[in-house]
Amino acid sequence: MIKNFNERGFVMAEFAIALPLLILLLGSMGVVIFKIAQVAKTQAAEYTLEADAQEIIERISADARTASEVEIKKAVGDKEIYLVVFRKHTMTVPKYEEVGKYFPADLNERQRYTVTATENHGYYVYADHQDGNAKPESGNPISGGSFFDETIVDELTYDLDEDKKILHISLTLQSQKTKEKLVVNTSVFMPACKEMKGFEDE
Amino acid sequence: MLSVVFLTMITSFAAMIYFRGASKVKNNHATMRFIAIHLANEQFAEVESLAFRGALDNGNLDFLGEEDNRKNFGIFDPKKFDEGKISPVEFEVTTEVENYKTNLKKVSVKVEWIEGGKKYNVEFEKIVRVN
Repeated sequence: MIKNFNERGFVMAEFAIALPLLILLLGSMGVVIFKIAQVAKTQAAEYTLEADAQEIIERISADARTASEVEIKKAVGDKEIYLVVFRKHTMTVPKYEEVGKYFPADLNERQRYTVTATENHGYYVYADHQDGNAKPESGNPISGGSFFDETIVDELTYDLDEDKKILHISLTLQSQKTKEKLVVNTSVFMPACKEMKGFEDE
Repeated sequence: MLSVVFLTMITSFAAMIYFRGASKVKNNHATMRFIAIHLANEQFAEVESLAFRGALDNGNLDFLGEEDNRKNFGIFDPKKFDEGKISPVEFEVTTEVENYKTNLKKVSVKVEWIEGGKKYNVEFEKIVRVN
């Protein structure tokens, strides 16, 4: 085998060029991978923020639409957070003799949406429900607790227009991961509503 | 040398995918659509209220809700908001009311907005009863 002495210097030259380039390229790839991971994290947080806002607004709107009474109260604390109580009288109470022992469950429903501060995170929206004269059930959270992100309520305000029979809802949610905010405003016409009570300090 | 060229190509390709994809992932379109739907709901509430009070006439209507609600930042960074570095997206709400049957009217609400130079819209119809 004949050794080509002319190629010895070329390997070193190639190495001297390739190594910094390789470091540069690996660094660039690292930056790209890091950026992609960051975008994925932000994206998951944003979707959670949007999904939570949608759940809160739609649950409250659906109950407002069919409520026969609505009452708004200022929640305890410094934040602009209010709680809302909807009542639905779906039918008159029949006499016991007419229906036997089975009373319909939805004679006098009460649905309350409140915001409760949790120990670790912040303000979640809770919904609790009461049928007739039964004691209120313990509330269920309808926001927060997502695997991807924790969202907290920054503001939740209601404004009643008694003449128009309209409830205005304004919600500001904040992501705990990215600290980004989302503001959603909507209104609900309440055709069956006979009694509207504005907010009082609780 | 071949490996360097090969690595350069791979990195460029990855960067190209990232920079092309990132703008699509980060765009606020889904959020803006969600906000537009609730803006349309706000307009429907106002129109239904007019119908309930017997004051709904045929024709075109302006946005009857809170004027400030036509502007929204979508999902925004509060720091940039405080520094005035972001501007809101403005929604245009158009409404058309026409007769449907006897005491019923058909209400069409269209919400339009421009985002990233592109025009988007959502459109809904509802039949309302006029008292």
